[in-house]
Amino acid sequence: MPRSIRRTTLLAALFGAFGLLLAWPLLSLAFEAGLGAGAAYVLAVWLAMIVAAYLVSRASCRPDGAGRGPQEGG
Amino acid sequence: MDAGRGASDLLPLLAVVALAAYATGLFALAQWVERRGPAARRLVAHPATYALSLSVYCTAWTYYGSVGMATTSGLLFTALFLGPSLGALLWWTVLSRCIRLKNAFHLTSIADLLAARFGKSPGVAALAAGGALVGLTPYIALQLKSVIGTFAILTGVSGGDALALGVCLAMTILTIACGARRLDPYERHPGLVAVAAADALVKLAALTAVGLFVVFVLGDGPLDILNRASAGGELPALGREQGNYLLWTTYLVLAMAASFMLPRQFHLAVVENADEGHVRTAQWLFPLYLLAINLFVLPIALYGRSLALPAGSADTLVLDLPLGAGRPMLALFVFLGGFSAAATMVMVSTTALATMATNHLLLPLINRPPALAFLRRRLLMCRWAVIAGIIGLAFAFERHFGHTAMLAGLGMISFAAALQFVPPVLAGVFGRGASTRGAALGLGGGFSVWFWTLVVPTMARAGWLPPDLPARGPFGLSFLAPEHLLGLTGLDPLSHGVFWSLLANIGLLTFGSLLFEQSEAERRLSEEFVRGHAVRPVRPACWPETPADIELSGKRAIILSLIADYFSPLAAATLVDRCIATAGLAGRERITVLELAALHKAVETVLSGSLGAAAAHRAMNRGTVVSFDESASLSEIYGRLMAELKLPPAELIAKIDYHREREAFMRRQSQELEACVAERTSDLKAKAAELTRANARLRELDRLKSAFLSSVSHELRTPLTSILGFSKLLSRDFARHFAPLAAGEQGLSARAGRMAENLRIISQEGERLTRLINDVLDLSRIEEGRLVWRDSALSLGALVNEAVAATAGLLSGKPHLRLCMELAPGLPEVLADRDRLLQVLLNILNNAVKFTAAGEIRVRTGPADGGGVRLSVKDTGPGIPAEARERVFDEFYQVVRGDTLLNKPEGTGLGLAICRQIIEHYAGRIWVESESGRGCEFVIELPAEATRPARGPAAERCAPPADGPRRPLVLVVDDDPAVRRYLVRLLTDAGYATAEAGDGEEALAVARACRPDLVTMDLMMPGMDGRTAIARLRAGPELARVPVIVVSVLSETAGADAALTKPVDENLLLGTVRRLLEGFADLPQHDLLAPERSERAGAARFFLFPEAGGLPEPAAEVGEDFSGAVLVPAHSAGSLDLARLAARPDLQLVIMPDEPEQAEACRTPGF
Repeated sequence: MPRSIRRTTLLAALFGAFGLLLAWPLLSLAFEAGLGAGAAYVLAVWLAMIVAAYLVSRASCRPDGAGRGPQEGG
Repeated sequence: MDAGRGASDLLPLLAVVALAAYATGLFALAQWVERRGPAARRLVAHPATYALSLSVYCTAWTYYGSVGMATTSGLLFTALFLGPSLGALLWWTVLSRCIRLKNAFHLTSIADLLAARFGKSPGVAALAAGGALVGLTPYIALQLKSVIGTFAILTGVSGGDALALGVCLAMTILTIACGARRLDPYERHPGLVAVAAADALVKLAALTAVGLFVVFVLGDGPLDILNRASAGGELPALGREQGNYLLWTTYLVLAMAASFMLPRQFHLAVVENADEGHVRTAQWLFPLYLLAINLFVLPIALYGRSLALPAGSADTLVLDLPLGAGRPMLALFVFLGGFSAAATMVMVSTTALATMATNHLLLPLINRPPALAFLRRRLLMCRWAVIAGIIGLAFAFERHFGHTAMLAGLGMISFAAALQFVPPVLAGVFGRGASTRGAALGLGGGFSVWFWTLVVPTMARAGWLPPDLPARGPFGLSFLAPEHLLGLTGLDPLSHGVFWSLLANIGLLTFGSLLFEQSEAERRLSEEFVRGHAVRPVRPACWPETPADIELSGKRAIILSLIADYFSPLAAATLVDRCIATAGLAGRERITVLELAALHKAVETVLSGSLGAAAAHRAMNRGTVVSFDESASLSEIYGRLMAELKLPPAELIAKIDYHREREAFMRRQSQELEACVAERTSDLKAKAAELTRANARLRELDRLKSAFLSSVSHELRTPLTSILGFSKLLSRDFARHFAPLAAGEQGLSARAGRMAENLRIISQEGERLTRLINDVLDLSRIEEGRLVWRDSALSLGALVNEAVAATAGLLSGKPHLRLCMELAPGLPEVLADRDRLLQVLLNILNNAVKFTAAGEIRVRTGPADGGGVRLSVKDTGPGIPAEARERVFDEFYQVVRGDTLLNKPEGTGLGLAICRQIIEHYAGRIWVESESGRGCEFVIELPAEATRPARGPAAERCAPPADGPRRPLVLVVDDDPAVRRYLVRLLTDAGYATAEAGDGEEALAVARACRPDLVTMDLMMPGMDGRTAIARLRAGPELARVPVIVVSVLSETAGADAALTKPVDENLLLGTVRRLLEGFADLPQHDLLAPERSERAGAARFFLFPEAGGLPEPAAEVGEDFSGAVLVPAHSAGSLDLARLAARPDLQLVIMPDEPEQAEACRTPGF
């Protein structure tokens, strides 16, 4: 599989995962528990998103170039 | 409190001054960056600057409104920041693609992107620009409102229209200065980016300051804030109302779209982007910034809630709290943070909107009526006017509607407007099927529904429309009710408007794209967009040959006339010439039709950077840059190319795409590699710095060690001197007084012998210890720079001779070891300390003798490469292993073979270390070359700086002593330095002046220079041997009469005046010398030197006998075949049987008179 597609798949998966975490069915469980639990939940998801974005950006500048590249083929 | 009150009284003035100062600071920063100094370039090129500039997302609405929203709606505000954080995960795909397109098509705005994608359509561009203008102007008004409102809260003085006008004026000037200085298509606005980044830091600092103040000064830490909140009533939780979940999701989607699609976000993220790689940093740094700026929002809201303040004041809580606590300076800082948020937003938004409005709304208007054509030449001023107009419109909006809307409400409506760009942008950038008409329909429908469902209700609430219109619809048509469109109920107004506008947008886009087919130009553009780059006109190998029959100057004139409508003549000419150079046509007179097409495209692309894609396309098509014939020719060429390639266009495009992807990949890999190299270089630099520090520490420790050794050595020397002295005294006294007493008894004698041996060992070890200490002291003195160097001009040859002579004694125990010298003549003199240099030579020679059992030690001198002198000592010893060649110059290092204890060589291991220090003091080099088992060669090179031209080697060697009468000069010629030294000492002691030479050639040179009175000549020498030298001496008129004595192991005279065999007898030598110089000086040569009668070639013509007793049978020694004179010392004559010699007719027996002391010595019994 071309690496750019792998990257897109990874990003889409991350986007979907965090999107789900922020969507109302899961969020409601945390918010129903009160403001503190809701805030902690939001903070955790937020931090996880930042860490994921950071790791993805770092992976793209590894010396071996792994994690990014053009579409191969054509 | 008094101070606080005092400060409060001054606040209006302070606030105005601070505002003016801050605005001036921003202007100065922008100016500094625009000047593009090295520091400014580094600042703007930094990815963090790019990421921080994106924080223009956090406007005054965010700054003040987040706390207000948290107070009224709990955690709902976090959706506004979680949305961009979530969307940032996709930036790598979406944002990067847009940046590549921007670079390829010179895009200037989001409207330009849409226009460029959808057939350069001015309609799509105008729709996008108009929608943005309508949707965003209220948002700008919101910023003005926040500045004016917070100023009034801070100072307690309503600024009124004057303040509002002042703020508008300042923002207009700042916007023009930072974002619209030029109309250069190549120009970005680094000043604007820098200002946005700086404002990001100010906003963050101000909100953090007030957050810390609330939590730790007003409250007693986070727990106290939570307790107060519990007591005063918690913030509303989302979960308590089902509708909030939908609102949460709407906020999330709107914020995600707005973080990229808002014109100001697009402008900074795409248009002002300097490096696509910066997206990687922004992807995580931007969400981190959003988290940081919101960290204290909840605590501030909770604290505010506990104070039970009125709901209307929630939006300004961050300002009210420090003011209420008597901290006007903190409040002023917070106010400046809010102003910076507003100012950045206004500047960037207005720049982006003005660009869109000028290019896509104004230009189409002024292009039509000829009366307005003059405005085309004043496009930059038009843009300035548009900027002023937008800010003025926002100001008017704020004045009329500002008091009617909550801050958050207006912001979300603008976000919903930005959401309308999402469908056409995503469909255009990632999809091939979206058509121009579909995009126009989608945008038009989306903005219309947005206006109807979100803007109209706001206007109704402001009193400009009937208040029941949102709920009941126009003319009683309830299905058109803005807040219940088509009877849809149960949604909050925002979610309702977003739902319908998005549905209309997507639906019409899809419908229009299905209904209306794309034109060929659209299809080509859609391909380019989906690939993320423009198709550049390149010339493949199979490109058909076309004649270069089009005059470039003519086409240049046509292009100039077309773009002269928009630029000054000079700017237009520069632009066209730059395009010609870019297309590789500089200097050409005629071009092909393909090159003309490339030039046309290049000019249009560059022009779109100023006018937008649609206007640029239209402008280029107004003229006849490509004539009808040329266009037909172009079509024919393309057709032929397709036929020759035998590829369908789609496949050809796919192949080109593949190669372009590869090229881009290689470029990115190269950039990444460069980044990695830079990173590693940085690491290496850090490590180098660390090593430097460690080295400095080591040097310091080394210095301390040297000082310690020096101190200890000094302390040791004093008692050691006593020990040595007394041990010698003890040995002497023992030998003199006690040993004789014990001589009689066997037991005592043996014991005395052991005691004497013990005393000898004490002395010997004491001396060894003294040498060690002296070495240590020498080394430490050199290292500490305390050694006094007594430099003088030295002859390297003389120094070598001296060192060799001093070493000669060591050779006595090694009969199979030979010491040779090869001294190059004419070497410069060395400027150095004689004793130190001699120390070096002695050390190396001693080592050579010590480690060489048999063979040869050869000392050579010669010139060094690059000037200076070179000296080497080569031996045939065991050599030095490769791993030890450098270490032998280390302190206390000794090459040990086999078992360490058994094979440890004698010495301290400091000698060579000292040698190196001495040589390096004179900027010289010392090293060793060796092959293990085949000896080694120590080489010393002294640079030209440490030398001076010699006075002449020969002259130097025969320089007379400074004092005393002239003495006869004897030139001693022998290749063996030990023999030479011995002879010199012997002759010197006998009162002769001496000169030396190591071979025949040198002997001739010295003889010519010194005019010696006598020469002693060895026969077997390297280079010119003694026989040749004697012949040469005899050949010249000047030296022919100089007496020569052969001193050799060979019994032949070789044309000399006398011959002595080695080992030479001192008395015979001195006697012969004396007699040749004095006794026979008056005799004719032929009387002494009988004609040769021997058949033996080179047979001696006279023979000198050694000491008495040395030859018991003189006749046998002289030999039967010898003929000539036999000289016998008188004191030996009595002990020899000379009768047989006297009887031989071919011999002339001469009895030489003795010296007085010799005669005396002969009489001494036992001699």
